[in-house]
Amino acid sequence: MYKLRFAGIAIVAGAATAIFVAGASAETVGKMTAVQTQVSKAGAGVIGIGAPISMGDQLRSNSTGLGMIVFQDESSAKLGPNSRLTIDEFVYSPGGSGSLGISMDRGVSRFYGGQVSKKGQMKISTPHVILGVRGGIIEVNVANDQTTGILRAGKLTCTVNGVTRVITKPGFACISDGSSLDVSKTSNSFSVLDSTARIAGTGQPGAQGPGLGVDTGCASAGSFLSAGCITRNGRLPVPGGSGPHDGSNVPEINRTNGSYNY
Amino acid sequence: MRTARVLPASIALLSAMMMGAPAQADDYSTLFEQRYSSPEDVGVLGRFVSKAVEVGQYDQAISTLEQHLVKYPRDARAKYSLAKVYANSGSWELAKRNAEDALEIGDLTADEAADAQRLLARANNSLAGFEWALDATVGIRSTWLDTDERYPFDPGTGWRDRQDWNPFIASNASLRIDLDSPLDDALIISGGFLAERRYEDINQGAGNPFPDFSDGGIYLHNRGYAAITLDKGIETTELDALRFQFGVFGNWRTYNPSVDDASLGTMLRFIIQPSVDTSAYVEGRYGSLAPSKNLAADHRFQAETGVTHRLSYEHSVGLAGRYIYEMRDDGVTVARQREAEVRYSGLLPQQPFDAVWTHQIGLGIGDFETRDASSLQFFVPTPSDGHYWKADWTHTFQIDGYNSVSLGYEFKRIDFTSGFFFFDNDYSTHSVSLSYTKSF
Repeated sequence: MYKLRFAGIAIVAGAATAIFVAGASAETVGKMTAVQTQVSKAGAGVIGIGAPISMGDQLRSNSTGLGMIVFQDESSAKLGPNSRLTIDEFVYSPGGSGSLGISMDRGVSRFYGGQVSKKGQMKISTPHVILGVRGGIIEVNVANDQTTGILRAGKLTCTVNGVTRVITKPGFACISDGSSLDVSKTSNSFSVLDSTARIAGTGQPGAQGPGLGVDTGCASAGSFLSAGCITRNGRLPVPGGSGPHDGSNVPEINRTNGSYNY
Repeated sequence: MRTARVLPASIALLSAMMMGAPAQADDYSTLFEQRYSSPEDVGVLGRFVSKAVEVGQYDQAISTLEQHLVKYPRDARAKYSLAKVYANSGSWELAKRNAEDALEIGDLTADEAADAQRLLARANNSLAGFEWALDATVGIRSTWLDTDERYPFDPGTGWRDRQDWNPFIASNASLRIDLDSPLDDALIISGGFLAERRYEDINQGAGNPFPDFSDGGIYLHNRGYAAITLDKGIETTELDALRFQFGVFGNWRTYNPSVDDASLGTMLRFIIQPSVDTSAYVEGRYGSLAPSKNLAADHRFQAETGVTHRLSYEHSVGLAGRYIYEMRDDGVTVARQREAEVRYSGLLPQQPFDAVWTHQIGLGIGDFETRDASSLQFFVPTPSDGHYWKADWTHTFQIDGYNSVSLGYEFKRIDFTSGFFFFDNDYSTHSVSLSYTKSF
């Protein structure tokens, strides 16, 4: 009797779980916000700006394709040419932690951390390595024999066979073939992601655009000199921070030694 | 009393500025929703990027600018903006690439092009492993001394209420040498000074009973520091960041022609960041006071711990505790001081003239005990005990990266619980300062 009751509960729970997963997989977790030439979604063909992105979607670009996906937690991904990625996991409640999992098996992409990367887990899985993003920006290049993950801002963790290395210095990369893991400074630059060409990689001049400017102090002339604007190690700038003058990296409290209050 | 009139007027002026300036219409979340629903609306994107930069969400500003650049790859102003935000994030390679693109496209104003060139020069230095900072400050401070005048009828006591206008200049410089490690290790060489003409009377109006100590008067008050600090990361996957810093330093401070506080010492600090929003630290310092003049102590030990937490994009709070102990070579205690401080930092929603307007409010409380001439805040050359509390409110207007203006108010109240005759006059100080800082 007890076993039967347990089996019944298990069946109901399993059915409920199945419904949740099915519902979740159909739920929109983000959308395409920019496309250049061609990006397609498995089962849906070529997609354009505004196309919804759901869990389980596989996206691929052609040899000149570029696309930007923005997720509901403010994370985003810039898909480069000849690339393919799949949205494996997205759990997010506003203000709370969550998880975002993306698998990528070829090409080059840039990932930008959103709320999940600051309070939860954002992971990019490739055939060779698992990359963790913490409040920042990384680039990933998946080739046949190895993956390169480059930190551009924030914190990057690279895990292979249970071994994890941490990078907090922009410009450093981890390189793995699936069995070994190397961390070093890299001169690799996936410039195709920042191409000024009309179509990435073609050399034809792109549109000049309306002149999108940013009107705020930390994007004004010389803002990189302002202590209150500088951020390192993924630490977000704190209003009124005293900056790097005493090398303290503890700007929130006025220092009694090493820097002055005027 | 003058103080009673001027201080409320200053605070009222600041309050009027806070209330009167036009507020930002939308908050960050609303603007993100707009970005998400209208990805091709340049106006929406521009407002979101500005807000994201304003609240320090640089990764969001970068992804939005890059989204725009997929459609308009030769938008020079967007490239130039992107270069600046990447530079703020310490990502110099992409800052350089985007600055070069912006200059190559050639659609910038002369000022923008000149700034892009400066950014490019900075990026090249940083990529070569060297970052430097240099700033200079000029300002004026008005200080009111408000004494309790416990001995008003004593002809020998000149410790009276007074107000002074004190001009000051200051400069800070640092050089950060990258040690080329994945955890961003660096050697930081830093230094700075402050020079200010101000009233000082260590005898609290009691004349000059000690032959080695000068009378009260207006003196040039100097202080400065030089430090070399090793900043090293420790690999951790459980915490957001773990670092330690080890340094050697030299500090000096002159109170008046009679007293110099000069120390050479060493510092060790640990910093723990369990999340991007929270940081805690603990540090210890030792300084030899051998180079000092007319101080009884030979050694100074300091311990400090603190924690800061970002409440939201615009608001953060901090809490710190400090203990300072001074002793002679023979182990005799000269002075002790304990202090606790709570501090709030905030970004105001108004941006007058596109300046980033931030303010800090600090409240501190402490007690002290001196047995001889000490370099602590109470350097009366006689035994004394007491407690104090203090408050400050500082507004900073970051006009751009090269220019900022600060307006501040400070208050301190000191109550002696015991002290030698004439040296236990309780008093308060109020000061209002206005300064301008130029960065190079």
